[in-house]
Amino acid sequence: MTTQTIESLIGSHPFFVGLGAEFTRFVAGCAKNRYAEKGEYLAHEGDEAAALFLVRRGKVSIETNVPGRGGVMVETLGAGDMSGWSWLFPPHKWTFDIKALEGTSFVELNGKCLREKCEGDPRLGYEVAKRLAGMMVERLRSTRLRLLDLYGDHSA
Amino acid sequence: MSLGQSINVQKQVHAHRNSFVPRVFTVTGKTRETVDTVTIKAHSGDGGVQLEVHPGQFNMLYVHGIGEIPVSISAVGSDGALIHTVRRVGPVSKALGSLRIGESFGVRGPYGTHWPLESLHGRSVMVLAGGLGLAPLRPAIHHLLKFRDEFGDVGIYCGARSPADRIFASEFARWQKAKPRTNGAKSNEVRVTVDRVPDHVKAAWQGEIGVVTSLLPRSLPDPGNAAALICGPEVMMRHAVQDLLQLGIAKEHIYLSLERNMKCAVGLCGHCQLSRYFVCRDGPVFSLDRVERLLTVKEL
Repeated sequence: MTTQTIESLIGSHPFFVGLGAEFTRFVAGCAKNRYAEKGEYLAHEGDEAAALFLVRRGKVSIETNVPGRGGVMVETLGAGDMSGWSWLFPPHKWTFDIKALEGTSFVELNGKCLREKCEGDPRLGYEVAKRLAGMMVERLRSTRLRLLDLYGDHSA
Repeated sequence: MSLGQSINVQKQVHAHRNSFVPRVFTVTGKTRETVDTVTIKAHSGDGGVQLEVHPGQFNMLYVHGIGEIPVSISAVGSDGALIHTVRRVGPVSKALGSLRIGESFGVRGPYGTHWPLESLHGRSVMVLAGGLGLAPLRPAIHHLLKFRDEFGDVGIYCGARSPADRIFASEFARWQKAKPRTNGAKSNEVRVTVDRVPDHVKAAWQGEIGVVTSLLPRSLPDPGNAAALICGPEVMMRHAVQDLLQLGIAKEHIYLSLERNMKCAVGLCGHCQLSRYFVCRDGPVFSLDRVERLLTVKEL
């Protein structure tokens, strides 16, 4: 059995792939390897957003509590996905819950640590910002498509 | 119209004379897929020859006294039964969906181009279906799995509005298990996503929530040797195409099934015209390189 270093886990994740050895090593200083049991929350809406999650295996949901309905799932994310960008933007609060739907392995990058490194090295900051922006564009497009209710019956 | 053109049209009409005459089929089975979608199994009631059907083609289905609509063939039974899946949204489809076992309807066809499965031998194939778009893809999936050894990895990615709106859900597990006999390294992947999960089923839902394109792999080991078959709402297909091109799949290996207002089904009436194509005759299955530009022309 081979043991992967935190650097290799980050470097091989789609969100950071191609980042380069120097930056990957730099970013790895903010990272730890984690596992969440089914039902465990990785983030709670309103709490300080202090992490970026790189999902390696398993599945998480983005959800919010609706009075009378409980947690309502908005989206699911799986292996190769990332979650969590609120650490970059004031007020640095989670805007949704993140919950493990099954046993989930992920890399957690400390948001404050990553933010300080990005601000200290604009080249890294730009790289991370580009990747986050690309992810946001993808999620926004998905949300817009779902708003269209493409599979509904609109003949009436 | 010149005399020459007139003769040509007459020749085409003559060539298609049998295409205009519906054959009588009798409903021999019905499966309710969703609240508004039903799969109808039917056998020929006239003792005629079995129709030669290719995956992706469609038939014109006629309900006596009501009208005729194009419907994709969602499977062909081992006994030659024709199987169509119909969403009850208009007078004819509602009438079709209401037919009882033993009642009859008319069938013209099959018509149109088909998924070019033989030409995809050796390739990995991704199948992307949105909503009822899974119906014309199902025969292609059956073919891919029946001749599993002829293809590389097979990925089947389905999107639906909600868990209750999935069609053919009872087949998904079988599709996942249909492994090749000669090369166990080839993979089958069947994944389903929905736009929303109603509260009363959220605890039971094991699939994904999101758009169908989110199911696609983030990279392909050999995109030059991959192909994709897509059917669903055209907006969904346009976005899927962007992601497939991003993955490196060539335009000529991305196939889409288009839907237009098909009436005659033999390329004569012009109702389904898409620029220089008649979708009923030149389609419904097109490779992307033939129609990419047309997909973004609003007037079409």
